[in-house]
Amino acid sequence: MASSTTASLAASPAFTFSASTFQKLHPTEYFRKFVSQGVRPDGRLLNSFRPTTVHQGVITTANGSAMVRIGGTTVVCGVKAEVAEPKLDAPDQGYLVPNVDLSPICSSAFRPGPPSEQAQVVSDQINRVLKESNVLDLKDLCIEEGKAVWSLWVDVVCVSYDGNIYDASLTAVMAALANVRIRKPTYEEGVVKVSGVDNTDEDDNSSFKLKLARTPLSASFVLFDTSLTLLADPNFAEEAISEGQISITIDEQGKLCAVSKVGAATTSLTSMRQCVDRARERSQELRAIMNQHQ
Amino acid sequence: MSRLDRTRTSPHQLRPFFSSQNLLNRADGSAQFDFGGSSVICSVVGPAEVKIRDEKLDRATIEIVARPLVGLPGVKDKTLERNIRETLEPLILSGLHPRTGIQIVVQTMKEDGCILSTAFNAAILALLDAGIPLKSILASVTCIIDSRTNQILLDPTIEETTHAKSTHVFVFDNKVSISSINPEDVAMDEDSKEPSHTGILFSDSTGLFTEDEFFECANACFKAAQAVHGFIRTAVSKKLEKEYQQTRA
Amino acid sequence: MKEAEPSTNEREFLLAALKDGARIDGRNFYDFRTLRLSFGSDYGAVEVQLGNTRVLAKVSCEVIKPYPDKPTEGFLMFSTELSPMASSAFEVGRQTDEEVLVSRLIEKAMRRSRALDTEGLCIVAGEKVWSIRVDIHFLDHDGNLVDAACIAAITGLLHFRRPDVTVVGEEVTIHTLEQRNPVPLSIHHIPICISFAFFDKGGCVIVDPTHLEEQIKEGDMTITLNVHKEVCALSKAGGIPMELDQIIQCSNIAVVKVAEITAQIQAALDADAKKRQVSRK
Repeated sequence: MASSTTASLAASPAFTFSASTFQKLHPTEYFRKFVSQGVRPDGRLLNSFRPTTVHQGVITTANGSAMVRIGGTTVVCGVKAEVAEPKLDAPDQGYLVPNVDLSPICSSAFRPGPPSEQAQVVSDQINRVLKESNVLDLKDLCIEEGKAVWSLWVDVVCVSYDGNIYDASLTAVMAALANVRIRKPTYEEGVVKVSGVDNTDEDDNSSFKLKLARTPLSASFVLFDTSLTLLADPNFAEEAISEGQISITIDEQGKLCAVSKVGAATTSLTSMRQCVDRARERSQELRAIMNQHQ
Repeated sequence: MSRLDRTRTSPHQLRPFFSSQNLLNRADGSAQFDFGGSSVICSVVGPAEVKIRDEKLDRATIEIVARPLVGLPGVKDKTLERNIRETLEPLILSGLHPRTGIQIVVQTMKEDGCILSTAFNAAILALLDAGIPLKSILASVTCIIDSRTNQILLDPTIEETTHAKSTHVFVFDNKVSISSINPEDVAMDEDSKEPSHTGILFSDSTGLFTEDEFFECANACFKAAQAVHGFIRTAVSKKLEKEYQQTRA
Repeated sequence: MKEAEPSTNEREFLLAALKDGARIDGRNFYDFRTLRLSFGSDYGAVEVQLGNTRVLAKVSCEVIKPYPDKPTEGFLMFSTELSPMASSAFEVGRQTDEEVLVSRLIEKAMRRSRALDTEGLCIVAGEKVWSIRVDIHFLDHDGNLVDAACIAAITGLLHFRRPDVTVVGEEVTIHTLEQRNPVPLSIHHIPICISFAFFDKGGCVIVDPTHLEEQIKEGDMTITLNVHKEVCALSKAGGIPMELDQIIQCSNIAVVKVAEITAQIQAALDADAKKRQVSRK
């Protein structure tokens, strides 16, 4: 009965509307029509990622930097090294402080003011991956034990937000850390001296690179609809209607660094396995893209 | 191999649970949940008035406030809030209380590992105590993989966590998930010998681990979560029995 | 959420009862509610229940650098943010007037009365001192948060043990709890807050008001005393004016209450110490 009414309404010219209006009114139904055919509204297959580019060294004033684009999402990461005093309980360890900024510039979904919950959560996720997977030995950042260490401020600014901020930010952070050059300091009687002028000459002996033990990269998925179809690399619209998100972070040896699943839907272990497999392929692709630009 | 926590003999043994419901007077519902030396208290207020800014026309607004034991609330607590909200929001039948607010406050009382899991279990008990309609009930268990023995240790203490190469938090609900009933999955599961109804509601793992280790952890935690489910069930039925006797007396 | 005003019926009933010399929870005017103290497994964690009011105090410490103008002084910090758990009238990130008053009172009672020897927290002058932090968590608000918080804070400080340190020249070693027995803080005296509420233009004075009594009261006063009958702080912020005689009468009541509460705190600490000794054996 209801369906016949809809049909007759749709038939009358007053009740036909454009695809974009339909998307606004019934976003889930709109997506369902595409997904049932195995494609997504932006033309991607269900398990394909958006075109990704990585550029390193985009900020000349920073010690290391990178810009990452995944489809419509653009993030810039800058690493700044500062001399700081170490903590009393860890006198030989430096600091590595990632921070993700989601300002109103990247999307109207964010308000000015203190960092949003999402920004804090992404910062925390990246921080935990860097720490728990021992990406960088903080002892490498020591200048003089108990006196001076390097503090690396890893700031990620999102320029344009179209979903999947975690993948984009982590890629940018890893690319920027790989790009870092810090000039060798000298420590004399309580004064840290950093000689010479900043230059980024490859063969320059006066600067050092960071020894990264591994490069974790991630792949994110959302679960769509009651069928819990997996959609890789969700954009903003897809995130908004998702039933749950899964992120898998993998290093170059195929070891998992982080797995997270949040949201409404219960995920079977089978679909978790699918995600891990797909993430493995994706991280290889992403690594290839990163190395190509280096 | 004995554990660092000498009160336990097996790697899969959980610490004794403890729970207490309806212990606060000002809240609509409250509960405390302990995993051994870790304790979290949780209060629920609502459905109640909500700020117009946060009002939702078709359902209740769920607000989670997490407070640390020491220091000011920070990024860690924000993540805890997000994780609990994203997991509880879908469980609460919020459509039954449109344009209202449900506030859940999570306070750590004692810290000895597995705070996130303890908070999940305390929150669900508090929601049950407040009489908020729920779709299903969750149970959470944490495990680590010990870096020296490569053994899975369930419900680790802080001391044990210092030797972990990876940490895994899982939440399971008490209904058989629809997604895993389809025949394909069942066929898959026979090969890999996994319980076909294992459905993960929430998972958070960090460290360094292989795929197989991850799924081993998921299965071990799933089995342990059944004990937590049983405990929650008993706690609720005991409380209801007591209340029933009180009303008759 | 805004606090609901007590209804006219509740108000009239409470006032009528007070006129007849009775309080609605059956207490006499000068009675405290039952005080219960329980300790956590680690040092410096205390839960205080004063009737239905519940407060948790957690004492922690860390080594930091002192201020250059006070190189030998350690730090004592209180965190008294009112959590919405205690009452949904408290919002996160917005201080209510009540919160400001409570934090100020605790600060005055504990820190300014010099209950804790902050000079004793010095490890190396100008380099390293202990910073003691007391986090006070309000779990349930049924009136008289100040007294409960004060008891929780001082009991927490008395119960707390900091790691032992040895200093050899410039070298500072902080011993873990396994290596050496931790050491207690040096506490000069035990300040206890006693709060009063006034009704009937000062004609009726009650001790330890409940939340309902606090909502209806005409004025209040908090006296902080120690067992040596020394006044540490006296706060009467607003409310109806009081006769000097009445204030002296209040302090006489407070002297008795402080002695009782101090004895109870000591007894609870002794019982806990005994329990710990038994479990160590």
